[in-house]
Amino acid sequence: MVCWRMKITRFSALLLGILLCASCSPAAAKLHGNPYQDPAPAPDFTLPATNGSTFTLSDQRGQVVLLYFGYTFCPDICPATLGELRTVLQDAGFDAGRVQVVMITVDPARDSLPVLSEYLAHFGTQFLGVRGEQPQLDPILAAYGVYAAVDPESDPEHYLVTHTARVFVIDPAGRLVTNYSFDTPLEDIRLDLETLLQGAS
Amino acid sequence: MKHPLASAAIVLGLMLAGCAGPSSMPRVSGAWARPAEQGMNSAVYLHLENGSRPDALLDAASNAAAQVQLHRTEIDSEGKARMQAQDRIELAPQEPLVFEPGGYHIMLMGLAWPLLPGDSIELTLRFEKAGEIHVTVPVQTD
Repeated sequence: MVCWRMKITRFSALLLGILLCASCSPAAAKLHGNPYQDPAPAPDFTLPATNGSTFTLSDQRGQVVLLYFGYTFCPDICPATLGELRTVLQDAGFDAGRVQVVMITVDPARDSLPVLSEYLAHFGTQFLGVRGEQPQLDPILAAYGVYAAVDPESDPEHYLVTHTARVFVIDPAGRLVTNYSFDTPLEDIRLDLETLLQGAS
Repeated sequence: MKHPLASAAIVLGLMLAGCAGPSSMPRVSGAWARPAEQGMNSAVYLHLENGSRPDALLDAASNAAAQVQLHRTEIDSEGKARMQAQDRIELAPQEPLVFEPGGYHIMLMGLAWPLLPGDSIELTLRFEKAGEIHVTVPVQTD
C-alpha cells in the first residue's frame, strides 16, 4: 500500500512539473537580470528617431530591442552602459543585426535629435536615439517605472539628471521580458540575447 | 633561520625596504578619458594609490573643460543612478582608490574641444598634503 501511494505521489509531482513547465516559456525561465514573471507586451510608443524615421516599438517584432533611458550630457553611467552594450554586440555569438539598441532621452530640453545622433555615433549604427517632448515622455517613463528628474543640487548651467539606469529587454514577440541593472555581467546579457534570438528563429 | 641575528637582519631589511618603497606622494596609473563632443561632458577614470601619510584629494583641473568636478555615481536598490559631487575624498596611508564607470569619476563638464580617441588631455589633481600632481590622460573607449 505504502509503495502504491508513493507511486501516485511521484506521478502527481511529475504531472505538476510538466504543467508548470508548459505554463511558462522556456526562454523566460533562463533569462538573467530581473526577469518579469509573466511577460506582457512592452508598453508601446511612437517617437521621432535619429535616423529620420518615426520609431514605433511594436513595429520591431522579430528582433530584440534593448531600451535605455538616458541623456547625452550624462558623463558616466550612460556612456558606460552603452559602451558595454557595444562590447556585447561586437563579440556576439548571435546575429547582432537582429538587436536594436534604443536610447530614449530623459533630457529633451538639451537633447535635440542631432545632438542625440552625434552622441550615439560613438557607439555604432545599431544605436538609435528617440526623443519626445516632456508630455510625450512622461507616460512612457511611468509605463516602464523609470524615474528621471533634474538634480536640484547640480549646477543649473550643467545640470544633471538623476535617472533609472536599467536596460529593458523586449523579445522578438514584443514582450518586456527582463531588465538589467548596471552591474549585470556582460556574459549574462550575451547569453540572454542568444536565448531570445534562438527562440525566435 | 632560527639564529636570532638572522631574524633581526630580516626584520631590519624589511624595515629599510619599507622606508625606501612607498613614497609620501600619491601615485596615479591607468588614467583614461571617454571620447565626447565639444560642449558635452566626459569623465576621467584612474587608479590612485595614496602615499605613506593620510591625505585628501581636494579637486581636479583641466583646460579641456569649462568645469572639472570630483563625482561619484551612486545607484540605489531601485536602479536609480545619481551623481554626487565630492568636496574632498579622504585617503588613508597607502589606500588605493579606483575611479571607474559607475563609481568615482572626475567629471569634465562643457568640453572646450572634442575628445577623440588617440588624443590626450592634461589633468591636475590637487591634494591637501601632496599638492598638485599632473597627469597626461589618453582619450579612449572603454
